[in-house]
Amino acid sequence: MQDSSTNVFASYVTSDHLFDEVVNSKGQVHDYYQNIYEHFQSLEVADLKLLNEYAKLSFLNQGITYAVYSKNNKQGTERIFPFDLFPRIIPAEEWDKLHEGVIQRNIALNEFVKDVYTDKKILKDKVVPSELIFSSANYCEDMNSIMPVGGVFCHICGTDVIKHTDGEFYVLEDNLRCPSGVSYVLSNRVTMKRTLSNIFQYNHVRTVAEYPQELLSMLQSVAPEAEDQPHCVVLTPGVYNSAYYEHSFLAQTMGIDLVEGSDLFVENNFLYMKTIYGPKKIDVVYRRVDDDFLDPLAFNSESVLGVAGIMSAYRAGNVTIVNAPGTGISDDKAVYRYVPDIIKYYLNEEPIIKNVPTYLCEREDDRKYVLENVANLVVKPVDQSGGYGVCIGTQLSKAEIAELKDKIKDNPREYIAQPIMGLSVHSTFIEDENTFEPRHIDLRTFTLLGKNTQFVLQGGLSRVALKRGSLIVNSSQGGGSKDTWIVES
Amino acid sequence: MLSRVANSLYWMGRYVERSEHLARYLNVQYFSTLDAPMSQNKHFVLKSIMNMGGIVDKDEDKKLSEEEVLFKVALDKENPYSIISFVRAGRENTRSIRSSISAELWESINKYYHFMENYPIDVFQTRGLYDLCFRAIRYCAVIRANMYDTLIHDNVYAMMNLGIHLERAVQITRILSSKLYDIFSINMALKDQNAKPIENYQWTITLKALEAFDMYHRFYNPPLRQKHICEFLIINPNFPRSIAFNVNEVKNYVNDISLQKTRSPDSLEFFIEKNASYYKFLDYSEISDDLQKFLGETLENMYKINERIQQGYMQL
Repeated sequence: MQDSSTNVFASYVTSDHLFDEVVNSKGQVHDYYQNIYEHFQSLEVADLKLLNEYAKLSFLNQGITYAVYSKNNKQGTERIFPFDLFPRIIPAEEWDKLHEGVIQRNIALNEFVKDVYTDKKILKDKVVPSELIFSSANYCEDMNSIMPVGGVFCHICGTDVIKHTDGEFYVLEDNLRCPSGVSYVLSNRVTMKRTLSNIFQYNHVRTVAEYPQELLSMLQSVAPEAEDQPHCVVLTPGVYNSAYYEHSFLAQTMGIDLVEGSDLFVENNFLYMKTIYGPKKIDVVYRRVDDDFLDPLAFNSESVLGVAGIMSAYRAGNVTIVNAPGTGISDDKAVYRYVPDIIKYYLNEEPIIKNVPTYLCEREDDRKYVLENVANLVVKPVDQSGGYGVCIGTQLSKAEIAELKDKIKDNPREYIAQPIMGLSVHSTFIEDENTFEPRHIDLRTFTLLGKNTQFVLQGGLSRVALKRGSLIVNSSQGGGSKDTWIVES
Repeated sequence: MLSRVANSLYWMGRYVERSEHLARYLNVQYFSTLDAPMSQNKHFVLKSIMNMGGIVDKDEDKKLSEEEVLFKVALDKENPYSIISFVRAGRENTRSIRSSISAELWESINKYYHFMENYPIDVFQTRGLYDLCFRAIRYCAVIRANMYDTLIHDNVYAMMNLGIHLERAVQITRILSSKLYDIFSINMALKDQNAKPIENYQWTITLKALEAFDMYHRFYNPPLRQKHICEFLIINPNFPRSIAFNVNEVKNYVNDISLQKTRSPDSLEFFIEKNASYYKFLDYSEISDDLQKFLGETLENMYKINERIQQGYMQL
């Protein structure tokens, strides 16, 4: 890389044991990054800072914020999800393979959920141990023998992938409950176009703008039958939910109502919303409320976020819930280990995207290995998301390792372990330093499964761990995001 | 439209309007002290500001300092009747319905909120009062312009305006009532001395606090007369800061929302039409004997309309 005092890449250091998305091992910039790299190189630090501030203000004024609550601050502090101006580029041919891979994976997982709640063949054939499913906190007894429209359970799937030091994509985890983040993909693109419009002309970037329409078409495709114009809504826990911005964004861009539990009621097994002119029937609910809070009659009886009786309306086939309750059995981190087997079992195909080797602490051999090698592994609780509870062995003190070992011994079903993956790094503008530095990134892809239809958002959310050396990219833990470009080669 | 959305739209309108009136009142009232006739003393003005800002001085001996009063009325988040609390409530209501409105409207309200939230308290207390109030008023003007220009003029628009105009009628009534009380107190205090100059001063403040000063002078020739001022602010059918004008707007927006073609005597529509007619055909001589009583009844009326609107559209 060039060196000059004002060059924003001046102090950029590449590492031998990390995969850099922008620069190859010889220090040369990849072809597909050349245009954008040159553009940034032509900017002064002051220009970049200005662009960065402009992007931040754009997010604040649009209200694209999330709230962090604490004991002393019950009103919550609003934060901008940090956005990095340097887009992540994936060449189209590399992406197209990934595209095939996430469709394959999510179709198989959908088949798996369907099977578990109906015939349970895969459990009877002992491909996946049935104890693992029935002991899962996300297993939903009420779903047994329910067949949603089109056999679709996992309508919206968020598949997190990373690129390892070997340059290959691996699936890190599946999110089949209420995966969030898609609104940032769309807003990032808007902000990117506003701030760096001139660089788009050199690159043929695939659009992401059609997502809301695709989402609405998918919702309409799974409406109960005999409806010309199905009435679809987005159900939010409310304005204090940290992802509220996304809920309202999706409702607005689809042009449908955003409802809260208190807006809805069930009568004669049909779901209605309360309008100023009286009740109006609802056919499809895209709910952003967890299973547990969905129906106080069926699940958590203290929930005020859901609707009493919605499960019986669902069972009667009068309303479709998206995603179906109980899909959490398939994104359990212990079930993750079996996904390659699940793909082979239902589709008779080899998995297109690799799985990270996974040790189930519940299995004696695995547990023994994990306990002996904790210091070199990542240990994750099976049923948490958002990066919570993830322990990276190399970053733990001796005392912490001992504590973790005790936890694993006390509750082995709760934990899995994986080798520490070398998440790829990407040039990222670091505000405090006023330079670009490499930071770890991952990619959340979004797949929609409708009645006989599949759609994958072209790109997805590239999340970046802004703390130097950190492998945790979640926004709740100091992560930011980048616009993701699929570029035709 | 969802009943909850209707509720939020309505309250968004009410809170934004309320914040603007308080900002205007604070601004005009405070600056009036700087070059006021002798007995227009600071304590008296602060008392009047506290009264409008809903602050109760619990301990008569421990008087609040000027800085404390100004802070409590404008930027105190703990005081639910401060400008910042109104803006926050308006913005929170908007946040829950942003999928029903335009991005432009949402951004103008969101910017208003961030402006208040980030205003340095020390600057406000020493030299920023005019700046803060002036800009708050401007933000409200931009918000109303964005409502008018970027929304479909359908029931979402009507519901917001319903809130705005009902709130404005309430605020005009409160400001008038508060000023009549001030003038009454001044007359009592001065006993037999000539209270006229101070009385005039108070009427000027009233007109300015309602942005009615210039239009009043276009309509009536000087000198200022209580009869004319009250006629102008209560009965004038064409001035947007009169009670009658706003009551009529409330009626129009209820009619826009209503699907009912016939009016049964117990319906919301009937109640509101009847109420608007009262102000439309009101003559000043009917109320001049006891203005405070009239204003008190007007407030009661507005509260009743509020109740009926909530019952009619927002049974949650």
